[in-house]
Amino acid sequence: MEDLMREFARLASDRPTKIRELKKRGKKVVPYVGQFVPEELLYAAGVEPYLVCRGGEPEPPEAVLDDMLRFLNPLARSMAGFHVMGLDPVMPLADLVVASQPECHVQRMAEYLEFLGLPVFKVGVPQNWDRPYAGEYYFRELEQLKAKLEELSGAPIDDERVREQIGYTNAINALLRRIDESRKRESPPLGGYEFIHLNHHSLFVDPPVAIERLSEIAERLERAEGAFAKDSPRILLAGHAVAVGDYLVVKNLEDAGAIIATEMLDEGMRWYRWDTATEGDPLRNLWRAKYLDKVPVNIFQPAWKDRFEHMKALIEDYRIDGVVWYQLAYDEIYDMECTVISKWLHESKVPLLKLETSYEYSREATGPLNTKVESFVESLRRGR
Amino acid sequence: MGADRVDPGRPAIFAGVDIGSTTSKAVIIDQEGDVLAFSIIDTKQDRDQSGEVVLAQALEVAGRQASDLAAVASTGYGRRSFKRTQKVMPEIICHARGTEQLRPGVKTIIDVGGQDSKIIAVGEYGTVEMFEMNDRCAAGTGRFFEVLSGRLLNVPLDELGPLALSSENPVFLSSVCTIFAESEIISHLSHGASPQDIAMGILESMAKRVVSTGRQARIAYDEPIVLTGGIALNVAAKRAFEEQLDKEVEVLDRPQMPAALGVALIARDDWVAGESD
Amino acid sequence: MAGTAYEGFLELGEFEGRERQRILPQWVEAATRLGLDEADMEYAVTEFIPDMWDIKYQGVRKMIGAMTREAIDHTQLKEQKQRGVKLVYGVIPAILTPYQAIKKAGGDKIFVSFPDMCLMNFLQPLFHKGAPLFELAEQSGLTYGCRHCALNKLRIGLRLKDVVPAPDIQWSFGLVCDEATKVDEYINCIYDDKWFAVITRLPHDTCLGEVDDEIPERVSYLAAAFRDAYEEVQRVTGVQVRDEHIAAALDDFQRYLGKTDVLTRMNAEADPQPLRGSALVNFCHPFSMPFNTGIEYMEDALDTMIEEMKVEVENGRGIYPKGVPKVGSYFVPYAVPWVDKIFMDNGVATSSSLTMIPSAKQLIPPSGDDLYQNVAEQWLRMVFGMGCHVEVKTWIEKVERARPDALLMGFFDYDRWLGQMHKLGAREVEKATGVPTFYIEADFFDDRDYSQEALRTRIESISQVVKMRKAAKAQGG
Repeated sequence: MEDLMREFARLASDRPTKIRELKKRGKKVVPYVGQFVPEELLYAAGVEPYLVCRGGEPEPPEAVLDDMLRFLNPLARSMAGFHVMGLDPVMPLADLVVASQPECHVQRMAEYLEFLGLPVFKVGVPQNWDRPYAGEYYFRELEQLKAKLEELSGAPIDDERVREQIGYTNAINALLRRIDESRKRESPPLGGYEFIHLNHHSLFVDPPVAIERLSEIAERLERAEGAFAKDSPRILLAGHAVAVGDYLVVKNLEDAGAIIATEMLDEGMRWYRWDTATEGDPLRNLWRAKYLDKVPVNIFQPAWKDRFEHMKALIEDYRIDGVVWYQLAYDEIYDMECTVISKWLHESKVPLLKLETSYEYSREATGPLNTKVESFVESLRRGR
Repeated sequence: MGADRVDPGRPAIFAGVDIGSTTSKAVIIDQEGDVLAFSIIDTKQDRDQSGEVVLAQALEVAGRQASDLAAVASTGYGRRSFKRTQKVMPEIICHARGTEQLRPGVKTIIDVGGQDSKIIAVGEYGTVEMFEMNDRCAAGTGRFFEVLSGRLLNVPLDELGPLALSSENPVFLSSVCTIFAESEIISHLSHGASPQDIAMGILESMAKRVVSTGRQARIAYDEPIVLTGGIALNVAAKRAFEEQLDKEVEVLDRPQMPAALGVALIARDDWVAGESD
Repeated sequence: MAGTAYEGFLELGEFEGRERQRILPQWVEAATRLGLDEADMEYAVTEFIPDMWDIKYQGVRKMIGAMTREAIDHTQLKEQKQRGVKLVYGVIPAILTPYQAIKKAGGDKIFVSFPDMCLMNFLQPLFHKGAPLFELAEQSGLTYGCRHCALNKLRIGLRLKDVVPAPDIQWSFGLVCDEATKVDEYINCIYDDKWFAVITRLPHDTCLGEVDDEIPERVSYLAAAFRDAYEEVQRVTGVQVRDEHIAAALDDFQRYLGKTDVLTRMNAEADPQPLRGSALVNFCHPFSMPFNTGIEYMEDALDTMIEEMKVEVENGRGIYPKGVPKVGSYFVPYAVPWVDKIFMDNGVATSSSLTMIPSAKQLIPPSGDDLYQNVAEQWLRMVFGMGCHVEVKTWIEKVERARPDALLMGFFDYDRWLGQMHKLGAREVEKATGVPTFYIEADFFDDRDYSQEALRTRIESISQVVKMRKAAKAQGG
């Protein structure tokens, strides 16, 4: 398995190099922010998408403080910060940056990128998702995005090509679900650390290649032995996002003897539990899949009761012993949701650990982190 | 590594070593769990060495030797640095276990150390039901008290408790940051506030931060509540917490001992389980 | 009670004779519900208010009285609700026209309120007593370290302390402020499942160069969002708002806007400046919160202040010495009025707030007949936090008009909606206008987070720089 994971990781990390080559050959480069931007549309337009979701290092969020507010979450600041520090290999090549705008943190980050002179196209995502006029707004945003991509590429986007890309995404989702099933075993062959990596890699590799790699991995996993002790406490990891590169907490949880059996994260992960319809208008199908036919993201309103029902279902399905809420510092809406969730979990007698990060863990302050993580895991083990 | 070969002629003893950021503690217990010795030193730069020194001291107090040790376990931030250890356990778990041993039936532990504070909701047999830690801000730690009272009042640490207890009108500190609180205190001093009122004001501010941390994590502060850590040596700290909680707060005779005792008990339990296999 | 600090407070607020006697027991009860005791009253009347507010002016004292009436009313909302009065709450950001219109339509059967804004504007600036309610909210889970908005903490604190009851309907605009509306969901999930809210949100997607109120589709979208919520508000309250109510509310708004514009300009142009910046802002509260006891008391206070200012200007008098430099702000931090005082102690006047100076566009009344389109236009013209670029342009326009000697930005460190563009914006304004700008990272409502001493040093330094530059300019430098 390690060889397959390594190869997949290599392909993902090669993407910037590949993009540089493609740019020289006239391809348009489009970094994008957020899962509300359909990558299917970008691929169908013939441009090279590149997900902007890197985090985990303390310096990039600090690098933007001359211009950005301190109390924005570190992921939003990182997205701009890597570019400001000259460490983003793709942003300087951008022909267009497409940023979904469901909330203030990414709004301010996108505004800052505009200020830095990058060409930014914003996809507005209204939060009151149960109102028809709001839903139609997002659909019109997708239409405008499509028109913008056609202008950029100089060619119309064929519906069949969008359907083809949707098919790829659905295939990737199905493979991720298949791999994810293996985590329901008493001793799963992989944990959250690897599963999150697989999600990340799949977002940086051409879809047909991702399908190939994930198929091989899924096959191998079906035959693989368990990698965790049978009495390992099983954890649901919830929150806003585990960014690309932000793996320390996830690793520490599993090094402490837990299994991250499943996740409930809004960004940085494919929404693999929900597929997009392939019949009919593909744009409308993408709209529906992202906006309506899934558990709402945190910022949507109303959302938290639905989200907790989803969490309860995951807790049952994956036989979860405890929930770890991964809180980005200053991410105020997620902070509020955590308080709400903690009340409901307390009533349901499911233990909760809240871990807050401003990405300082990668450099220092791991002592307290390890104490919390190990204490939580041990208390779950003893409570079993 | 670990314990020297146990002398079969002498009763087995067990050691728990808690290597914290400020102090290191060691506890020696017998097979019944009775405490034979407790020792505490300032943690040195070399954490392994700190563990060795404090363990040696404890053994001397107990009148025993390392060869009598059937098992050694460690906890605290330096737990993995202690080469002799046979088992490591995070301090929250140990704290709960040790405090339950010293105060059976405890439901809530408030531990205020030099650099962090912890609030632990305890279940049956000393299991941890919930916990919260303040590890990001000095304002809820012993450091807050030490820095402010030491620097500004120029009173030895061991005299601060009785001084604070004599306060009749503690000052109110609104600042949530140690640095800002310092300016506030200077301002109070310049307006003629007494050292005892300042000392008690600092304690109340610290207690408020700590209690608030637990409340945010939905810890109910069920009684009995036990205050541990270095701050519990301060006789006025109990009063400060009782005022915040409006509940009785108990203090142990040796409030810095629980984590070391807890990990010693865990070492003993493992050994007993191994013996009976 | 007679002769107590409570009565002293009412006297300060220009309550007289029989009215004072009638209101006194209500005020004592209101103060208790708000967590104010006699020591707080004594401190406010003898120290805090005289130090921080220009109470030599009857207009300022009447303004305090008007705010007091509103605060007393708020503490009686439980009883009002029991008597069948329908409660409609909102939060900032908001355009007040629809709230005031429903009040006009419903009369005494309706109480419209932004309880957090009203009581924050009362407790912090006059008593410095917001902290207990902030702490209550923090202990309940709106964590301190995350930097939540103190207004939302107050909202939750008021609910937890049962100072104000749940409304019949909460209409939270939110717009591009995320936390405002999510607090409704928070309250509903944790404390009160009868807390019923409708929201009006905007996607955060104003692009570079876009001027929202000039794009018909964007105005229509917001208009549709308003209609959607407002119809629900009317349904729940049983009050039908008609054109004449809206027209009356708009008239009130425009009239009040015109008067505050007169006051603001007079104060900005006068030398010596008659009124402190924070007092000036308080006269503008009818733009940020609806009034029930009647805008008439605030308007009376404003009218009185305008007349008093005319006299001061005619006689060459002011609160500051002649020739002191004037510092404009994004928003003069009136809720922590000691900031203003420190500037004053350092010989610098706080003058205008960018948020309170209407842009040229804002002074033009809305164009069409449709209420919702008008309200949408009104909001989008204010450009609060919609898009950094166009907002900074309005700042430049306002600074060109007001011509302060310096501009103070910041005090919105907690606000991902309003606080983000201050650093960038400050530099752009300075580049475009030549007016030196300064940024202070601090909280507009909650001063527990920063040290008066540290801020004093910062403000002293700013004051020195501003005075030196003004002197150099006067010498033709």
